[in-house]
Amino acid sequence: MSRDTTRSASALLLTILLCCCALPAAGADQGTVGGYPAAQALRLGQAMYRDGILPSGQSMKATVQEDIELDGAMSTCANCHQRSGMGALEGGILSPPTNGARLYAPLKSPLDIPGSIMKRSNFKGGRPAYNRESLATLLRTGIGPAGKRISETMPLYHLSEDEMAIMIFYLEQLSSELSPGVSDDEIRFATILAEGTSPGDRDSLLLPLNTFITEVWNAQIPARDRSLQGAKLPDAAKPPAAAAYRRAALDVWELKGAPESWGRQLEALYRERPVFALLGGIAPGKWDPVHRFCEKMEIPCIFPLTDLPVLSEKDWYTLYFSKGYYQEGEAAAKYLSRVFALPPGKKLIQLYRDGDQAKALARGFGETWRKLGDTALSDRPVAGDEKIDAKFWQQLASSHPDAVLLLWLAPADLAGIEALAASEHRPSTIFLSATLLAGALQGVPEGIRDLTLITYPTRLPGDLESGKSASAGWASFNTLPISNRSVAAKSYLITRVLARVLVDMGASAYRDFFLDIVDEGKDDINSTMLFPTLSFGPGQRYASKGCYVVSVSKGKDPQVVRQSDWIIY
Amino acid sequence: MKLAVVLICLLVCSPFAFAAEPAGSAPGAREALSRKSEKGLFALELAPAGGGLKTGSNSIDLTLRDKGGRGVEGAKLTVVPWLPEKNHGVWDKPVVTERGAGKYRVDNVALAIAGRWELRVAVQKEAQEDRAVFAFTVARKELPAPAKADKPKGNYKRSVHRYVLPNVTLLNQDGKKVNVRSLVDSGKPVIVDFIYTTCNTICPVLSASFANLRKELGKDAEQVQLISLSIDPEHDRPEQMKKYLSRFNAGKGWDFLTGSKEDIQKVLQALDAVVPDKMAHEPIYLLRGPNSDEWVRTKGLMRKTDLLGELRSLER
Repeated sequence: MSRDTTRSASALLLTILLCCCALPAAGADQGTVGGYPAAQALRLGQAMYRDGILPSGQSMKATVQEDIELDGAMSTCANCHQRSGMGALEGGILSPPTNGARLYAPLKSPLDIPGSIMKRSNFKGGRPAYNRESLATLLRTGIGPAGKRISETMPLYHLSEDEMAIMIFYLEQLSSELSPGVSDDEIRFATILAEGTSPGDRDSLLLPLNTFITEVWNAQIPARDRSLQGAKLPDAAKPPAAAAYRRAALDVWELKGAPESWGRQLEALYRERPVFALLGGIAPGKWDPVHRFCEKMEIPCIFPLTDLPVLSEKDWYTLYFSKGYYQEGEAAAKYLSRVFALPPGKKLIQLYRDGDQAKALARGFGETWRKLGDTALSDRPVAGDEKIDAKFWQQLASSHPDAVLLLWLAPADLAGIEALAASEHRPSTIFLSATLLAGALQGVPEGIRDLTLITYPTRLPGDLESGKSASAGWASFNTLPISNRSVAAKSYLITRVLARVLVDMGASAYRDFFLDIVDEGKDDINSTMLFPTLSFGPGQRYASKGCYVVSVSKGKDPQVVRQSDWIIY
Repeated sequence: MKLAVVLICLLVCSPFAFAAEPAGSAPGAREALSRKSEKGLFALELAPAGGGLKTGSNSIDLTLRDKGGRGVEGAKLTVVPWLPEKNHGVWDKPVVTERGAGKYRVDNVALAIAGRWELRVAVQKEAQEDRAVFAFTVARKELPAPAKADKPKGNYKRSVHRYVLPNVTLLNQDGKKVNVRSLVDSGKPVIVDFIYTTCNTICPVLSASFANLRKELGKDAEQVQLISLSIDPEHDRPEQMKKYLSRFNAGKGWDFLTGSKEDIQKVLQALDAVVPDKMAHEPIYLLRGPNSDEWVRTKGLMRKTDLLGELRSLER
């Protein structure tokens, strides 16, 4: 197949199928499927496929490996065949594609398996095309269209006629049309720049993205064809013809004014020129409006550069670097509860200025501490105009002697804090955040250093230069005239992810497939200069899972001293 | 323009890197277990576990010394298996772990076919770089002789092994510290599997099998200790593991363990279950009877009946 099913071909195929082999139970002639209007049947089919829930609200029931009872809570179609229906390779088991276009065509060669070369190379034997009848037989009995039992790892489903009709109706439309933002020869992306982003940050974000798209990806498409199609490779190892690859384009979407208006602006920009996915992006405050837009429109957004992400266990379309400030608070709470093991009855006071950043930290700490800790935590918000000085600290110490103080504050607010150390009621421990301190750890006053712990959510100073983790690529990166290395490093990571995903996605430009492939990424210890590790997995939406706790040594040339592992359990 | 060139060099990530592996045999590759590196900077000594390399996954102990015969610590070792006659390498990369005093462990030397293989070892210690090539004749792996007569089974492989577990404390789904040795030595039959909470295909089936086994055992379910070891400890924290277990109606007697990468790695090494990447793991069960030093290892997704049969055979 030189190109994946095109829109017109798949529409034609579906029309033929709908006309020729409609089962009576499907009831498609009356405009209903399994007793429901088509649109509702699609939603119900989606719930069956993704969540294992039947139209009745009950769990789907199945049998796997001959005698193992499986219900919808344990595993779903999407677990193995992926949300996109493009299939997966896991544990040496290839789950073949299950979207209508591919089910209703024969599988003949590895090239009919979308995805990575590794996945294709696990193709073992083909099969004739399914039709509705043989598909229903397969789902119930495990007998494939060639009349033979397929792998026992495919569960056998106990479905009524109506439920079966809905399931098949859903599979028929699954990944049947290429996603918006994709034309015959182009795939379009956008990145977001909200008002208030500095010109330096803007350039640092755009330079790697644009360079990758124009000078690497687009420039290499013809070369990829010449060098690989001619190579002496087995079929399984051959990539699809380069004609399968589309040129990429990047739009810059500028957002202005109040974040409440971004949703409307995004919708207008999208209407004007739809994009396939969002790459990176910078907004000074919360990422909420963009997150909600992507969720609603089902547009993937990979790695926005924000420390104020939306925290959700269910949302699908935005993949973040980390949970940001919240994750630091979480790490501090885990450290105090599980590593530091505070004595029973210890009091904890949490101070934070009014503002999204400090509040996110306080929420991360508070929510985690209430689950793990056994002592009382009290919050002490500091109003925007409230002054913090030596007197403030003395009063705090005397009203909470020997307490643990969590000070989610900026450097300016630490003026006069030495008064704490001098006080006879000095706190037992102080916790600060390296991000809120803007990295200025040497600015922590000498007097409190021996009491102070600091959350540190990135690689430690010198870590990258140790030789062990620095690749030649990163070494030359450091020589580039980039004004914000942190922004550029994140942007560069996006291009590395994109390089792999665009190759593996090939012509099958479906948004859900794009995210499925991102999720298959290997945990890569060298993936960025900023994080010791980023790790991926189906549905995992925060790639950096760690945060160090450090202290600062005394003396003129203070050093950052690691106090915890990267991952604190 | 210069800037763009540098960036291009940076950005060429190589999804087709395998195609660019060097062709042809390196000169001077002879079968020997110790040799000097090509520039003479280091002396390397290999000790394959089991004496030689076999098809399948191999582990090798490597000792690295400098010119003065002292163990070299903190070197970066890259081991590339290469089969000159077929002109290809391997998909799964070997994993090198430093063990101190110049000793290194090379795991996951995965050789799919028999033949005359080379192991190309690159050594980097600060500014010093050198390499050495070892050649091995790799024999087909003989299946370990089962300790007990095997009846015809379902579609899985079975073997018997002796494993020594490290003294490591991990965390279970309730956030409680659990010593792996004590849990295994709790006096109950034990079944271990290797899973992660966001796994696509095989973990849900392995876990459904545990759930079905417990249902079948009914009241006696707690008399069997099930242990699921996370192979994605970065992501799998007690909260996620608890939620995962609830999908499978788990209860007392089924522990899901996580911990630092290093600790998990130690346990995986001891149980011969190291995976280079979590998505490349295999459906394995390890079963052990109380007070026994023999582990039954099964590979392949099994029927519940077969798993139950293996469990029953531990009691005999």
